[in-house]
Amino acid sequence: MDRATQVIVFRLGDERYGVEISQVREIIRPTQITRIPNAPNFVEGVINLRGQITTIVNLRKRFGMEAKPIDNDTRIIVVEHDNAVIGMMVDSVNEVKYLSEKEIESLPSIITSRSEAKFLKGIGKLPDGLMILIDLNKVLSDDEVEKFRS
Amino acid sequence: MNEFGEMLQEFIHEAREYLDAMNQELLNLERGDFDAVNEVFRAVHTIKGMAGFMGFKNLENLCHKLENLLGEIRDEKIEINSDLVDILLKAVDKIAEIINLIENNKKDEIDISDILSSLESWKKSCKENKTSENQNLNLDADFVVDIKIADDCLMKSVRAALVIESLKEFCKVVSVVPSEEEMDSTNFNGKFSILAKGDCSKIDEVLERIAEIDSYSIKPLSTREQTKEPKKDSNVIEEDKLKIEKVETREKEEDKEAIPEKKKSESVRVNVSQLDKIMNLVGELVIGKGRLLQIASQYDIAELKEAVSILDRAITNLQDEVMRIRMVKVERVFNRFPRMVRDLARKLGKKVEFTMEGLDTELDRTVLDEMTDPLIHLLRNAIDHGIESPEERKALGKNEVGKIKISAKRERNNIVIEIEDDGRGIDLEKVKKKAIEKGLISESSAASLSNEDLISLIFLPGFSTKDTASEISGRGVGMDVVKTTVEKLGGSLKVATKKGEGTKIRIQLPPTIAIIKALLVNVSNETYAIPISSVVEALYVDSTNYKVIHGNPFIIVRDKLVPAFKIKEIFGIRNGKMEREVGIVVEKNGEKYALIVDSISEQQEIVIKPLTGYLSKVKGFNGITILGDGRVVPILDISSLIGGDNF
Repeated sequence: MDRATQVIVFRLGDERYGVEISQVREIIRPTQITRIPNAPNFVEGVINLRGQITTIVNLRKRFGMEAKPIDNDTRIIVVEHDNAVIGMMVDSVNEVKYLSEKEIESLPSIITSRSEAKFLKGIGKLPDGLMILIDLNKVLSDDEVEKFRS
Repeated sequence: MNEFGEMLQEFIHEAREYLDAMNQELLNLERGDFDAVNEVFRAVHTIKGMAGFMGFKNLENLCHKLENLLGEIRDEKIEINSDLVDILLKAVDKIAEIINLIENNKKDEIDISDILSSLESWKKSCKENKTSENQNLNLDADFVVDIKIADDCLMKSVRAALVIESLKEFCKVVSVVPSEEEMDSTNFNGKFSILAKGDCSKIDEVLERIAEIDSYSIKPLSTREQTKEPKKDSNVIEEDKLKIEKVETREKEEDKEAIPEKKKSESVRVNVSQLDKIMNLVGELVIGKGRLLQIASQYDIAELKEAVSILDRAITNLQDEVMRIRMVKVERVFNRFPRMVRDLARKLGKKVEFTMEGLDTELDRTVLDEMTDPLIHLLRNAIDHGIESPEERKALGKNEVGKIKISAKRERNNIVIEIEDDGRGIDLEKVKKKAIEKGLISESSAASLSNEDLISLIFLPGFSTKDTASEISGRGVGMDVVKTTVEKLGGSLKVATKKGEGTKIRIQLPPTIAIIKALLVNVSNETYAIPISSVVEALYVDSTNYKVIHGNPFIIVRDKLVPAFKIKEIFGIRNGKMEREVGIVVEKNGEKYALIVDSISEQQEIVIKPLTGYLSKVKGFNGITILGDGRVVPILDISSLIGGDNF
């Protein structure tokens, strides 16, 4: 049998992105965000998620896209990474999809080696179009942050 | 399996404690405290026993060899000198290395042949005169116990060791045939004899208690009877008992390894992570309490207020108690310093007398852990840069042996750690030259710098007066790291130095950090917390006392100019001008600064939560907290906030 991956599909601008469901803890609506001055520009701030301080990353800014004000569709995808809980702010969360292995195509290194594409893990081919699978480790790791800033 | 894991943890903990003690005692031994050898012996013996039980053969073997050598030292067959202590310390290091390996891989497979052979070779040098003395000892025994251990016993040598240990509880074991060494190495068949001196009346009782002993017999030794002839049987025992008791008390020091257990201490071992969890939960409680207090006053419910006040008291007590549990003696970290100082001094060919004071001063575990590396760095500096070589010292008319002292004490609400040496002091001219060379200051500005300013240069990142970074100092932990660590913990650091006379570094630390009192201030629609400990006073700021001089804002506090920082500007908060603002005067390194905010909302107890991930490197903040109403508020860190741009 084909091993299927379950992904959460979200939207940033005109693109559809997917993140593996096993890495996602919950999806919440934006609450009051406390800004942290001097933080990296893509860090929106922190929230109190049931007593736990959670850093919110604006994925638009992280991907070098233009920021967009929070609206009714804005969601925060809470993920666990490296023992830390981080929230990724996205335009909207649409659905959960099953992807079989053959529906996922990895990207050639000529693309992933380019800095603006380094967060990409592969392309998911769905009947109604393509979807970009993101690599959480790369999106959220500290080394990348360093490189990103310098 | 789980149980084994727990046992392993216990074993590692305990072994580390013994290793600490061994390091300490070996240094005492070198200093001429002969009794120390017994302490070391006892520690090695215990580790050996535990290792044997846990099945770490390599470790057991090493301990065994070390124990043998120590035995020779104890019997005064080997002279103690620094080279011998070096080898013993190396063996201790090896054991520590094996323990680390066991912790990580649950295995003790590591090459120990080097250390074994150096231990052996020391022992051999004294082998010749050993045999004759052994004979003498034999004559000293009162009785012999022949023991046969059951054939189906799995670890006969361990069982035999247990028997020997048990006998040591009440009589002096003179000799064992075959020797413990032989039991371990050759195919030990379970038969052995113990020659002992003292009270034989309890042997039956003790041996009955030990499982897997096939048979045993006790025979009094004729040689002993000859010397004690005139006494009658029962009397002999009575008399002997008295005598033995006296002997035992006299020999207590010498025979410590025979005392089976240290006196029972009324404590339990708790995992550090559990303690942290409790601390976090208490933190949550404090937050919850804050929320209840808020509701009580918001709705003005008398009953709730009363209930909350009772809860408040309990939580405060709980918090105090947990804080106290978290306190550890500085001894825990200081204990490894003598060894380090000694090794380093020897390596550099320097003579150092190292003293420690205030070992039982208590400090929060986190604070102490954070301070360990900086303290090591400062001590290294003192030996490497501070203390001169013996020749140089002699030429200067100083005592050849340099002095380094580390002390800890409580001063009002702070813990003060001082490191002092009587070395050459900091050469300020050299510091100045270096700083100019490195482009840290300009030549023209260097001339106008005061001595204090010059000293503060050594805390700049990338500063080191030694031309080549030696292996000793200069491992990346610079003085700048020492300083930032101290300041991050909410402490401060002062250096006093006199050329040719020495250097004294004074570190002031808060005893605890997790829960603090803070002032909550509003800036536009944002709220920030300022630790009360750094606040001196607060005052209204308006056009009468706010001045901009040469582009730098100041406020006038009682006719004095205090540099001011507008939080609004530092944090890039856009907001219209307020008519009246509030200046919070804070102190940092004895200097006053003012932070200008819109208003003060209240004073509250807050729980510091660390900033993690992306935010761990953000300057200007100490952490973050959650208030009673669920709001998240960043905590300002005065030193990085002010120091960040100006220094």
